Amino acid sequence: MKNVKKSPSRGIQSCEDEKPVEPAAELLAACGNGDRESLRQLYEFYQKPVYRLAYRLVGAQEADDLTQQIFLRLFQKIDQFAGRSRFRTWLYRLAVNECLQHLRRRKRKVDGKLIEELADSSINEVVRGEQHELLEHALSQLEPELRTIFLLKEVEQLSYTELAETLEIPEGTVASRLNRARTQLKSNLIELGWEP
Amino acid sequence: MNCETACDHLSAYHDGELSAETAERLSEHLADCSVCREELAGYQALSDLAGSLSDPGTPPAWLAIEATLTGQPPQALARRASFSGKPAKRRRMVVVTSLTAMIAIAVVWFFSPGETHDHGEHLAVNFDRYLTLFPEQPAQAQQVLVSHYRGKAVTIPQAAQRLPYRPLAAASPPPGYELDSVYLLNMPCCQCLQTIYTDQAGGRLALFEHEADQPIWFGKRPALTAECAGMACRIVQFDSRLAVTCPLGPRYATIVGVRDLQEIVRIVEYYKSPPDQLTWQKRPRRH
Repeated sequence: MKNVKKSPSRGIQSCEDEKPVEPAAELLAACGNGDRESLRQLYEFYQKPVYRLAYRLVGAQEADDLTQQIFLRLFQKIDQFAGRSRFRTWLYRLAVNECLQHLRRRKRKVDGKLIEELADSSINEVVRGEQHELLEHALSQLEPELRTIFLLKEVEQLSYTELAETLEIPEGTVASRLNRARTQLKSNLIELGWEP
Repeated sequence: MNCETACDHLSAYHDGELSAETAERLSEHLADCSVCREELAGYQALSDLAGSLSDPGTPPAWLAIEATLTGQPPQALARRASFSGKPAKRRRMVVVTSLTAMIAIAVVWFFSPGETHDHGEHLAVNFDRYLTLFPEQPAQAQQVLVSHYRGKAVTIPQAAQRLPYRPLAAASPPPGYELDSVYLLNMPCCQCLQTIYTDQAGGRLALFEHEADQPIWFGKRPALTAECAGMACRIVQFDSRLAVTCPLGPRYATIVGVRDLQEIVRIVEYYKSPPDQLTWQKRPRRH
């Protein structure tokens, strides 16, 4: 087993907190071998973007659990990462799939009547306040696929090539889906009183 | 280029992802078309707004992940355990370590205060009973909590002395309600303040203030997460009533007995910034 403990930062290239660069192949190999210190490093490296995405896709109450679940799934599958895509997009793909699956399961579980009532409720009319609160609310009204692509682009700053890799769709579809997300989001925001 | 084609390309243009040739044709169109220019300006405003989003809270600590890893080793870890070193010796060590841990947990469990034993299971059962009785037999419902969690009727100033935060109960009752009673409950999570309000139409609300999120109270009842008044709330349906939980400053507030979603919004909005100008600042705990 590789002893990455002796050089705790060698697997992590210097990076800006908000836009992680690719982890070194050596670190990924050590993670594949189950080295706890390397798994910890990988977690520290990517925890923020994954949590941020989970928080905005499934909500505050379940973001913790889902972040844990995503990383546990990552650690189980990490030796399947073949390097054909960037690690970052591979991880985002895994995270997005877990979040969307979770939303589908939740939708099946909750009581239909309550959901119907929610859709019609004044909750949709109430939010007034800070601009970013408006955006959070308008985002929560967006369908999950559109919310995902908007967040990956605007918050995680993925390029169209990375979005195509992450979402496994052609780049042309990236452009049209982003167009749809922005148009819909803008319309939601205007309904909430936002003035661009 | 016409407006329809221009609109199809606007996102990619805004993101700098169009080919140079298409970008140039679109630029020419934009120079002459105020409608498309306005649409593009909207995308820019949206990006600026997205840039103002702050990081939401703190991700779970590594320790939490590691604890789960230890409990359920991922395939890679399991494979490593079976291929490296001396498997039989390693397995013996795992067994010894597990036994030691189990004994330690059993000792801690045995000597811990009575009310914390398998409290997870009891909590779900007790709250299920409480919620079932709440709409029709509120006094009996209250008795369930008081008897299981050594509940004591207190005044609001007494409660304020005992809690590490200024209670929401110190604010006026929500509009339309009157204060009925206040209890301190010794819940497994924390000291929980329960404030009961009634209205003239026979409505009854129970406001619980607790330091840790407690989804277990509601067991498997239908629930969803929604944003109410800018707060992420978990809404649970029981009988013909609703309960809502949301984080408010240093505590979670769970309000049981709400009639409908409009009322949830009103109450959350009210407690988010009650008129008494509550401060969320945590106060030092008194010993």
